[in-house]
Amino acid sequence: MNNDISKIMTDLADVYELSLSIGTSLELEKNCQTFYRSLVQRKNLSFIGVWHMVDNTLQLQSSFPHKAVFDVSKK
Amino acid sequence: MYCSNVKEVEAALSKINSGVVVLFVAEENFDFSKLHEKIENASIDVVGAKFPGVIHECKLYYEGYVLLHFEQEYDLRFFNSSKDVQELKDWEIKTGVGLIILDGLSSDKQEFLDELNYNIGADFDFIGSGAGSSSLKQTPCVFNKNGIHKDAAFVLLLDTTMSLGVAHGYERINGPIIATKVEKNVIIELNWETPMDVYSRYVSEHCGQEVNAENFSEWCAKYPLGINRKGQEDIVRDPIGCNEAGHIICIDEVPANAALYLLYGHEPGLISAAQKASKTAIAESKTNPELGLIVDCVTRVLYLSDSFDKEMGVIFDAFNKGGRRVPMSGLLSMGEISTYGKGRLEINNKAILSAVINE
Repeated sequence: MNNDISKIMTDLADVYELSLSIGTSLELEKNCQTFYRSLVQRKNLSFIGVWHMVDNTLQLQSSFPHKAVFDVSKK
Repeated sequence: MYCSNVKEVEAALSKINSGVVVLFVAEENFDFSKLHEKIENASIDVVGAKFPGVIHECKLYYEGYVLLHFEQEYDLRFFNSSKDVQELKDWEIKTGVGLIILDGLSSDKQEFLDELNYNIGADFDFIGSGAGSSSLKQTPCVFNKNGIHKDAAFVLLLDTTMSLGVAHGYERINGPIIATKVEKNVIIELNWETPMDVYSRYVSEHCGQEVNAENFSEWCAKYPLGINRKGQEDIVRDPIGCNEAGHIICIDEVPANAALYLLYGHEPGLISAAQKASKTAIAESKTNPELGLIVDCVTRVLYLSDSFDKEMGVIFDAFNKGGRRVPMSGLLSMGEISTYGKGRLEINNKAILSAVINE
């Protein structure tokens, strides 16, 4: 029970931090990068990417780190 | 290789005619001007930095030099200022191992690492350290053939592989406490209160004694702060002082609005962590180990004191089990730089990095 509560507290605290890391800049890419860096650290991730569908094609718009091999953009 | 004086360094350098040399120098009685003329004349690239101490095999030295020679293909960049992040692109080596040494008291460390991580973080396994003096006074500490600099850094990319264990052994005893207001490495508010009030209350609850600004330094070594990281040990932030306003000063940056946890360390836990990190590194090493590289936080030596030998002993045993022989070199660090797996390039405090670099 204590472990469950502790996990919930940790998750809530992480979500609190991540939510406040959004909106630190009016510049879209900079804003995204600040959020990615927090998310990568907190969740121990290797890569974050945002893909955008343009004319039926997925395009990697923004990522952390910058790395083409993760770019799975395709039609 | 360990060299006790500049003459031995000169003799060692004269026998090397390919590759790159990295020098870890212990701060006691270190005079760069004497070393400078020896490395200036070397026929190969030489870089290095000053640290509170250096490690060779099982021994800790507060004076002398540890010389590492790498013969693999390499790409070496020296940055007079860690603000020169625009030069972190277009590397010749595309994948492998990255060794990062930077001024441990530079204020731009995390930005430098973030930029490096952004550019090539997915392709390299990194290990590194903050350099400098244990006095916590910023002095020129990172050098190459051109001189020794404050705020400087070098990145050495090697075409090889490495396995890495990262651990500290401190455990959570309270939290979360939200760092509601921070300015880089200074915590201005904790849970919307004066940080010193919150910290001393939590530590007093555990140790049963009064904790205040006067005796802060006695307690902060035992009770660092941790930042959550999913599936891994917390990232430690080392409080090193408090100011008149009750703000807590840490040795490295604390993220704004991050949840912090009060950590506590005891000797068996710390030594067991060092053993675990070394066993992980050796277990994941797939080819012939060339070097066991240890980056050990200077505060662990201060905390473990005479028992630091035990920490060195468990690492040596892990590296050299079953007739295997792995040469061991290292340093006492002012911030330990690594990735956990392929995660973000991070500065740790109070941690030990145990790496096995392969041929």
